[in-house]
Amino acid sequence: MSGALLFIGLIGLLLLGVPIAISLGFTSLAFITLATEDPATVVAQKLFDTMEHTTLLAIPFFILSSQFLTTGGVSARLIEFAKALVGWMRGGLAMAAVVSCMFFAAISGSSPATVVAIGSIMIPGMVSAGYDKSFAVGVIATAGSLGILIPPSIPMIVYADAVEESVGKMFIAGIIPGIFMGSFLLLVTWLYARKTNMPCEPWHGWKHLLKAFGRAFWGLLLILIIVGGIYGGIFTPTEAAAVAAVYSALIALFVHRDMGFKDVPMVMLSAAKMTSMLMFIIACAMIFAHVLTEEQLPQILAAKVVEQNLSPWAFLLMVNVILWFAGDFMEPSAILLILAPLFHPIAMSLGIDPIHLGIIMTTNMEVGMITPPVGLNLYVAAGLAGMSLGAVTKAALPWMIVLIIALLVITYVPWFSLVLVSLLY
Amino acid sequence: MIDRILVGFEQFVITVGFAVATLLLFANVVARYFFNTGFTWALEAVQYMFAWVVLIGAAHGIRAGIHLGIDILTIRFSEPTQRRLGLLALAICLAFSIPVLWLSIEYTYKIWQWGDLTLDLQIPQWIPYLAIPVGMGLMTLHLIGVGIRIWRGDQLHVGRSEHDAIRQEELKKAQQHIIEEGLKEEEIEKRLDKEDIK
Repeated sequence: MSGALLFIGLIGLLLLGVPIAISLGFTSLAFITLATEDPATVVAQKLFDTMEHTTLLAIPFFILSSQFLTTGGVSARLIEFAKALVGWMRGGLAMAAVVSCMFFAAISGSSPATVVAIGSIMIPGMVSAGYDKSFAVGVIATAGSLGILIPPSIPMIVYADAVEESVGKMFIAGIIPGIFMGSFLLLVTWLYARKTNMPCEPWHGWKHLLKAFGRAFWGLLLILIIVGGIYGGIFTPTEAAAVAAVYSALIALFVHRDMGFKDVPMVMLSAAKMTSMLMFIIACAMIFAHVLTEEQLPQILAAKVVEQNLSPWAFLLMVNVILWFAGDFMEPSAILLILAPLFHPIAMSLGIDPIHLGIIMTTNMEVGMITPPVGLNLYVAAGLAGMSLGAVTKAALPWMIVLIIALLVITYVPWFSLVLVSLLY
Repeated sequence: MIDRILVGFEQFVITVGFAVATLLLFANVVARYFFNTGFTWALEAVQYMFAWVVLIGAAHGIRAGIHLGIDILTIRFSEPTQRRLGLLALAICLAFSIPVLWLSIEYTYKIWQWGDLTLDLQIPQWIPYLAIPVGMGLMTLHLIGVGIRIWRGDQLHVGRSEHDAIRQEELKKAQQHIIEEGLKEEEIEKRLDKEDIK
């Protein structure tokens, strides 16, 4: 009962327009003071403790690294390579857009960052090549959401921290679902392009492809550094993120030289702002999650669900529906921090692998990225294309169905999420 | 004037703190793998630096209007109503920041009295924890500033809605980027072609 009150209060504040972080913090503070005997000092303490979660500290560095990659011209080179790779196929630019999003997703951990990095170049490019604008925007907003499914991924880091799983396992588990999702989007794009007879780019030959690969090489190498470094046991995910940040800065400054030293403070400041915004949400979500745990809500819910004799099949459906609804109000990291501890014990008692659950939750957040009203990717894409939010939403609607189909496949075929993990661990 | 000093201080702390933390963690990895020595205190130092960066950055975020919020409902009202709702939301923010400021002063004072040293760095523990009262104090000041602006009608909400936040921060940059990128790409093409000819 008290738990329900907490959620109602939270939703009320969110709708009033109170920033997400403070909505979470205020409801928890009010609840601790009014409904419990606990000292409220815990609120201040939790704000600080969040920074002591070493896994979460990977997030700032991945944010910084994607800032350098975008500003430093790595994204532009990845796009050139993707064009050379698949541009000659039907609907070539759209296909290349999806492939570049996949590449960028593999070196950055956030969806909106992927949309900005790829969309800022690809949307104008596709429109001037004669593609339908709303189609271009839909493809980018959707493929950009791969940013969080293909590792590294900020939501995966948050999930791993919330349920004390290994970040490395989560990342590895995301590889096949990510590639599956990307290929599925490519297939849909290609079929649609054939049906509507979209233009294709000329094939420039192997030499051109090799040249484009050479230019994109330094960016692609980062995939190897992150993935190889973590699995090879060379460094922890957090260290991998710091290495990625320094590496991206070095490429931007010394290899591609698209930015100079004078741009560094600007990049640092904007990364620091974005980091503070996100980490403050996470810190406040931690307080909220702490209150829920103190109220024994996870245990109560788990007992209820077990009592209902819910089959794993139905439970996973329920998880997806709740997440989809929550995604309409909140930021993915906050949702994961609050709901993962609630779902985790139930999943365990139903014999669902926690890694699989994490991948389902991440994929669901991906769908949420293009679901109105709070689909971040929609906002970003709308701004990039200079279209109204309504128009962009309409453009993304068919894509949302595509993503939901893929989500269902990933939910009910655990093989996708677990095969690599069981092979490597 | 005060505002400018505060903003300058905050931007300095978060930018430099972030940069130092990144380099420190990187140096630690390099030291471990190439020279077989690590500094155990590096991770702890990075954690404390981020506590400062995030708490001060969150306060700065109120001023810079980067905190995400939802505006699907409020946006439907007339401007005067929106401003009133904005003030209400602001009051709730203050009802968070002021008690937490108070609690954190109490907490930090207690830690100061205990006089413990941190595990690895061996500095007094209250130094890192000071980030909470400083951050919350700055946040309260900025919230009052934003309140005055909403009262005067210069602004509608606390922090900006998701919509504006992305617009202001990302898009300006992204659009700028498209223009620059277009120009630069041509340059790069030329440069690369020259290299290829060689």
